[in-house]
Amino acid sequence: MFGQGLLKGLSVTGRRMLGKTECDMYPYRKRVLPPKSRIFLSMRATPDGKALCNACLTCQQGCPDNVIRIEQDPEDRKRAVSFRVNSGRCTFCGICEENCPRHALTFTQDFERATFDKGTLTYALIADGTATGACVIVERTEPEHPASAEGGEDVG
Amino acid sequence: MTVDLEAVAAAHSGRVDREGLDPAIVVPRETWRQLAQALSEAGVWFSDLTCVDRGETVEVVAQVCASASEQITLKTVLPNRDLTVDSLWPVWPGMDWLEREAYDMFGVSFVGHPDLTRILMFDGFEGYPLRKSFLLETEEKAS
Amino acid sequence: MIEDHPRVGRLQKDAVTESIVLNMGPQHPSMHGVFHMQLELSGETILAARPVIGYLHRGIEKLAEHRTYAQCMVLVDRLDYISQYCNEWAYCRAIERLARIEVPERAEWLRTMYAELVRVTSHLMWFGSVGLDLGGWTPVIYAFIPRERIFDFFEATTGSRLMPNYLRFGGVKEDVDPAEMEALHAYLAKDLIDALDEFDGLVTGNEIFLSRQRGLAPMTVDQAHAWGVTGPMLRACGSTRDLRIDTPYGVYDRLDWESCTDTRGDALARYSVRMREMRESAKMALQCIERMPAGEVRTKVARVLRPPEGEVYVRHESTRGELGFHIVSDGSPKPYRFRVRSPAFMNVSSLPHLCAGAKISEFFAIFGGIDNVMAEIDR
Repeated sequence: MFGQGLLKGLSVTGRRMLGKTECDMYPYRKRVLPPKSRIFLSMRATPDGKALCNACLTCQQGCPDNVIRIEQDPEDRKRAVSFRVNSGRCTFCGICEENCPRHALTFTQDFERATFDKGTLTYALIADGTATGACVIVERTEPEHPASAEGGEDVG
Repeated sequence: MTVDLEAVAAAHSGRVDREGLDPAIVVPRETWRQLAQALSEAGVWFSDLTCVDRGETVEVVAQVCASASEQITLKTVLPNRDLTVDSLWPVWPGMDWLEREAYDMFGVSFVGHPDLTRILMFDGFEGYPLRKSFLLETEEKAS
Repeated sequence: MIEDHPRVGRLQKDAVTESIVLNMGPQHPSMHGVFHMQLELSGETILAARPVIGYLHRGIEKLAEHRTYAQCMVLVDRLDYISQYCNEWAYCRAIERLARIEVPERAEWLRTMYAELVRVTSHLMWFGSVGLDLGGWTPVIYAFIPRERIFDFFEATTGSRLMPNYLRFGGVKEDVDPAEMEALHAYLAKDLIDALDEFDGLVTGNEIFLSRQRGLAPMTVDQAHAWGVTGPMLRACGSTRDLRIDTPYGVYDRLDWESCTDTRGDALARYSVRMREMRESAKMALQCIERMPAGEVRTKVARVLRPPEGEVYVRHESTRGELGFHIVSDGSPKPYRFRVRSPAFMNVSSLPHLCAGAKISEFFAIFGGIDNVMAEIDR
């Protein structure tokens, strides 16, 4: 009978109309993202402002989009003077975090970083040798896992 | 269905290259369309056509399938000063856009193609982007 | 008499009928992205059609020549952004074949599971947009509910909903949390099937939908082969070509499933093939979760890979058809030539043949059945 399919479709929408809503009430209720979500590139640092980064440049050289700029201390090459992230270019691929031998880089799930000013998309994780407020505070200075020395050389 | 590669290659004054991962038939460009015609009549269908810029020469590479799992590469080598080759459009009409893309990206002219115009780049674009001589902006600055 | 009026009379006398050219797109809402179609119309009938593409051309093939093999994975994600895992897998298979890298058993199972899950989400996206193309708003909203649920799983296990960058040469990035897998199993076994049944009730039996799709833009197997059409569109014409069966990869040969085909070759057949494929894919993903062995998920591969000199072409059954990666290596850490044979590119090139003679309102019904993604066509 013509119209049977239409009626069936109407019954589906009718049932949905009475059922529960599938909505994120976003500004009123913030969603909790899973800990693996790659949202905001951050760095682990101790409460006294010491970042775990040892300026090995692995992240800067492995980044596909030149997001990371590290300035090494000329006297102590294992110390970063500044660590800047241009998040406007970032594609959130996670290669930097994966390759970091000291597990210093990490992603937080803070997604409310929209801005009206393009200039503020570049932020520092280390400035003048100390970790900035954008870092994640951890108690331990040593990495939780021993550095994974995977085979291979850095990008030429 | 299997195709006797050696016989097909010999009939079109080409040779079979078995050094790579898939067998390849390399023919001079004069017999490029005849090769495709002969394969098409044997029930071979096409998968892809593209070019590889080797500096002095440009290789035109077509991937065809003799059976669902048997894959053959067809190759012809064009000198840089004269990038023309017969179009495979009369053999496989689906080559239309693939050849337009190869023309757009490498500047290879396919003789007999009904509508050889740029497809991905805009009309009036100068140069052929996938040639090695086409530099990116960052490379231009560096050199 | 109205003919005596000076203007009307002259109009009637000099009036000639001629065809008009209509530019549809690139910003038309039904064009699935920035797709531009020049239509030559006689009244409402399409005499000729010429697709104009390239508005989303990002030069991915050129960019890839300037990046290392591992960095190219980021670009590969952005080719066909609604079946990301299929792209990544095809690319990984090409490099693994070129550099002779072994993949652990568990990684093969994980890859198969993700590829089939993403086939479900991709077809759900298509299902929603087919509804939109035909003027119905409901399906797209319904289709996004299961799609978002599967994306939640992707986000929890790989870190991103759309651009996972999850597969690696020689395996996958990391193993999946068993609790997540269990929750997904429960979802696939019950709720997803319920949702697909709901979609069938919503659209598949709808008489208006059927009358608009039945017999529309028929295509024969020979035509499909000649135009280079692959994937669900080809299987809707009665061909059994499916690279998952023809050139087995992953663990497809160990799963219990069948390739969906139809013999009618019209728009309705394309719809029906994809709707059944979703169920088959969900079934396969379930089997993967149940039968996945424990073990390593990744072999050690140099961080900066230098494959030996040579070239490789790998064909892969993506959600839209035959996805090919043609990689030429010169032994350096960067690919010498990076070529993508995109399935949607070839499928869309058959559009002028399919829509000649159709009415303009039918054009969208035909176009929706092609299931194109402009990012993959323009690269």
